[in-house]
Amino acid sequence: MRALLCDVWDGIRSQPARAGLSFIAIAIGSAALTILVAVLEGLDEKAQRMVQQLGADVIAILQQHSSKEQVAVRLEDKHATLLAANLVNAGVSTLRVSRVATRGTIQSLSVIETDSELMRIRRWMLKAGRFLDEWDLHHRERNVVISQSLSQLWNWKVGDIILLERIPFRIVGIVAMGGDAVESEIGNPGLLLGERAVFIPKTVHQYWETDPDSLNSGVDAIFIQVPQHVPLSKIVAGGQRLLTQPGYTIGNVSWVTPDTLIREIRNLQRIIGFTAGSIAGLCLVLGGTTLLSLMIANVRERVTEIGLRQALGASRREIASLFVFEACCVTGSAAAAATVGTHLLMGLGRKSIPVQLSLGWASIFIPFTVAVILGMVFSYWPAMSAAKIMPSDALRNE
Amino acid sequence: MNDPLLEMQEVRKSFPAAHGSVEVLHNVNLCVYPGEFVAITGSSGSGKSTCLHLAALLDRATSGWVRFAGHDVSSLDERDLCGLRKQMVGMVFQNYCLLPRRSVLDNVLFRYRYVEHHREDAHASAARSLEVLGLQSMADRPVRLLSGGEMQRVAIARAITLRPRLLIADEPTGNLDRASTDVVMACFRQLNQSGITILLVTHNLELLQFCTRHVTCRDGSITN
Repeated sequence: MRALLCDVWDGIRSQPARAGLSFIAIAIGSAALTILVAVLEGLDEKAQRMVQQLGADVIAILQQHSSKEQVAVRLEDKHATLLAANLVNAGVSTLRVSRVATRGTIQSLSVIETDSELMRIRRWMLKAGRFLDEWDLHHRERNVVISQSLSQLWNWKVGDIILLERIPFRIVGIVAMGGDAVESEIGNPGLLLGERAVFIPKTVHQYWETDPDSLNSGVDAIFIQVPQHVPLSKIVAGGQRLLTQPGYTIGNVSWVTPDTLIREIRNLQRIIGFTAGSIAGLCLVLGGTTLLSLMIANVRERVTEIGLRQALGASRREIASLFVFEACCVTGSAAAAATVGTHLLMGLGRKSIPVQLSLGWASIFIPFTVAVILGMVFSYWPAMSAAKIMPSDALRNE
Repeated sequence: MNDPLLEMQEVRKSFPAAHGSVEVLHNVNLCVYPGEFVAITGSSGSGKSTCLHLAALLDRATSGWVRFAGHDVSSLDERDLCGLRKQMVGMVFQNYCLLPRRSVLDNVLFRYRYVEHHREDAHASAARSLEVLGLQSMADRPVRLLSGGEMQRVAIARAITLRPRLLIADEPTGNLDRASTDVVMACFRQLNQSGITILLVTHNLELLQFCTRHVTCRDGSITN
């Protein structure tokens, strides 16, 4: 192996300018590919996290607030009751989101008025205490459950009393909703994807509501947990049929399933994959053709050396593999340098990059492998032509 | 007498050309016995280099047969031919064919590039070869800094370090001045006296004094 590396180093040094050009071209292509893979992986991770946060077997029906007419036919508790009664074995929960000021902070909180089923349906983890129960709902207890991120942010613990619009509430539990907040990217706070939120029994919201329009049974979202072995599409179709019955017809709502949740991300992945992938591919092909010219020139200028190697007992396979290995060393080292450099830059500038990046093994392994395969492909023909040179012809070239 | 190390009988060699083929060697018969120092002379285009390449197992005859160290060359496949060449044949070229970026010692060790070996044994043998050629003090020097005569001696050291049965030299003094030629030829004679069979191709008739036998190549045929 050491001898082979020495041979490769000699070969590269014999054509430093051409080898340098090939190196740069492949490095640019590999850097583009590294960024592409990091972005696509980042989007993929985000999609997975969103599905995980929603729940793989959860359907959300979200109220869209876009016009007054549509608000008039908004989602209400009766819709949830209808769904719960007709979708066998499906869990149903509702929530209503409002922004409420709390003393001691400059921010308002998302207060989620909900029932006791929400945590089970969304499969959130209880970190301390308990979630809201039927007693809380029935007796309109001023108990709250807070999200873990909120607990960490303001150092709130179970047993603490907090003020919501000057009304005291006792914290009875802390729940982990998972990950960073991504609801803003979906555009609907009703999804509750990792929000910093406070949960209160849905029966207590009238404590601070002064707007008579709000004192109705309207909800912002209904969550349905689909029973095992039942396809989500079947529940969606059944639910949509139920909500078109007379007296239950609703206006502007969207049905969110894990598939619809990540559809936009998948589209974005396809667009980025195609455009950035084309650029990376073109850079790599350009690098490959530069490499091809390097290898052709290398073979032509090293005919005597090829003859010498054959005279010393090298077989055709050994001659061919020398040139292929040399090309792979150039492309592999270019890819390695580009990957390391790109990772360092992306790591340093992560906060200022507007897209989520995933700097995992894929963004190292894929560009390196592609570059090495490119080295093999573009050096194959020159290597074969080198191997076909007759030793006597090569030495006559002397 | 011993069996010949190299035997060519009725050898013909043709090369493809624009209009059919050109026959470069016609009915060549040549025997080289172990311990001989044979010189092949002839004018340019007479076929002596082609004959040398056949002897060095770098090419195959179009017809006739070539026997090397008891092996019928025409019946050997590519791998066996490579094996024979790397173990039994050493070659020295007019333009030295050295690796200019490497040191003298590394160039000699390059002889082991395609041969299985122990590193220590190879180093010891290369050092011995350099000593025989009087180059031991230059072992670490890059070959590009050497004179032509020194480079040719490095090439000879490389050729003999594996102790080949046959040492083939193609115009080894073609690029050298008189003094360097004498040094190189003295080296060849010394190697021949140590038991290495040598086949030398040259234009220079003055070199014949170093050889034990002389054959002439003329119009693709060899005469003793």
